[in-house]
Amino acid sequence: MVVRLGVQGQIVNKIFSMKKKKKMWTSRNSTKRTKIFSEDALTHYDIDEESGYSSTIPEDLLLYGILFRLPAKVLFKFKLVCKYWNNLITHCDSHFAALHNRHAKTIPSNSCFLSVSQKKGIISATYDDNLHFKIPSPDPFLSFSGSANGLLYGYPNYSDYPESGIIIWNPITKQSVTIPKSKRRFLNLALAMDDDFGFAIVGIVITYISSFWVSYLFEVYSSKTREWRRVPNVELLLPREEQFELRNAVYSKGKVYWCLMRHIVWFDVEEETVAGIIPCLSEESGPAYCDWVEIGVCNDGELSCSILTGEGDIDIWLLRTNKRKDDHEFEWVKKHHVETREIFKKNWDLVSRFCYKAKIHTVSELVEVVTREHPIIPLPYLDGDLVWFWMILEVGSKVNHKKRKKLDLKGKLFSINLRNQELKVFNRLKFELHPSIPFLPSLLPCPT
Amino acid sequence: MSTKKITLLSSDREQFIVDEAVAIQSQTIKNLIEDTVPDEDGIPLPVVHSRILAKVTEYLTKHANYKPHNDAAKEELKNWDVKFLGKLDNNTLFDLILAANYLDIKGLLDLTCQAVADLMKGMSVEEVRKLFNIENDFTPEEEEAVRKENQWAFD
Repeated sequence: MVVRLGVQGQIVNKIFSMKKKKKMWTSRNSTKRTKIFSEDALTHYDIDEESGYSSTIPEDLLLYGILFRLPAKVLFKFKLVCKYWNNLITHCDSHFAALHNRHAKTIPSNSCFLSVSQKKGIISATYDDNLHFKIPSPDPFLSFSGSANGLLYGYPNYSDYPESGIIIWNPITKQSVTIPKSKRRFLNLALAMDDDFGFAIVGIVITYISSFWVSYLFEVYSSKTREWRRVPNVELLLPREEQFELRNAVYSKGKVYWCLMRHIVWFDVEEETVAGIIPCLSEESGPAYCDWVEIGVCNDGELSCSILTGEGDIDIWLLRTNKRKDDHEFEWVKKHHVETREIFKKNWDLVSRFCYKAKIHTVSELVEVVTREHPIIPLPYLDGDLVWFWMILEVGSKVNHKKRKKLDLKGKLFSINLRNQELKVFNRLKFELHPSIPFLPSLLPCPT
Repeated sequence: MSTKKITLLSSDREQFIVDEAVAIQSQTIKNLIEDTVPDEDGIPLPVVHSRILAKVTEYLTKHANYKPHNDAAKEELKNWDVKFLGKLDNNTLFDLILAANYLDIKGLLDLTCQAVADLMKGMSVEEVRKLFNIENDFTPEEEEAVRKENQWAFD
């Protein structure tokens, strides 16, 4: 269950008045102590009369004032502080989880990117350079379609697990739920979660294929209906070259989005009757067609689009929506233009260590490779000063045991800090696929 | 503009005289002014020591007289807040949190709580125990179990 909360100050007060139970876990060593009850008789403080130091912070203030501001990783580390804290953090309620999530969303550097290793059944993430979660066995996911509010969702391999439903999993709390499967087979999924309407899963199904076009329909499973329902009167026609497979969905402000090659498809989860296509236009007016387009969500819910330009630079576009009553208008605004040549020049010491193995020895050589072969995949832009990309280079060929030459590719994850143009490389993680799913660790419970 | 003065009385009965506009940024004080007959010496705040009340009034005075209209002014106020926090030791910081909570001053509560959270982000478990004056009550075995269960957080 998701609980709707107001601004932080109100929450603290609201929860103060709601909770009767008070605990004090420690006290500072002091000589003389008086217990004073404040006006509302709910909060009490210990005051050392000589120095004027009061001591402990009550549980509610600790949780709803301080701890919710910590990133999940730091928070979980502090379970080791003492038994009381361990208990507080492990058994935090949904108010705390919602507040924590809301705050974490405002800090872009709290988010990371996930990659799934099918072989090891592990997902890795770039969070302080290292984070591993074991995928719950024995049902390793074929693919994750995306994440929403720190919950990953995906479907297992249909041929191996034909009866399995959709799995929603919070790797932080290790909680998972399975949503019953639909009769139809989905090409892709999106999870939408909001305080207003609960949650909804949107599935995409092919209805027919003609020589040039493919027609799609939507199915929705929501917290209101608790069953799969075909969305009536909504059908989407897309050119055949567009594909929904392996494309990550994102949710923002009542809509789910899928980014395809030439189009962004959206579906209105609240109204359930509206779906549409946002075309990517020319390079001047919006993110133009290219091999890799990734979408993300900014702090205020705006959709972002990161693309690699023809010159090998990274452009970040934002989608502004003017929603009138029966009209959905979209407008692209260019937010950042990152000249990769300048970035490589400034951070050559770092880049050269990676390029050396690929026999690239100068900035010019690298820029040439980038514009010719497009080895850079921009990752979703999540607001703030960080732009992420994945670079994959050919690092020579290996001779395997059958004495055949095998091409060896090495991918590395980089982040650019737009403030100082500094590049950071994430070395310790071994990804098999490029880490494209943005993930914000949260303590939120899985929807049931 | 009203220049009505309000007298606040700390737990050690020290008087602080401030403009009403400054004082009523605290919801608690505002309610006390409206609902109670004032004490002869001033409005009693029995859980706030003079050492802390001095800091609170310093914050309130700055924020009452400073209504930022543009980004530069907002930035300046932010810098003032940072400076204000910089002068505090950890004990005072904790006491300010309690005072801001009791006096219901949202801005100050947010500022001080965020400061503690920022401190904690760079700290080890042992340092946090020291900061909050908490004794480790885990046995080595229990500690190992918690660590193992949350391995991802310790890598």
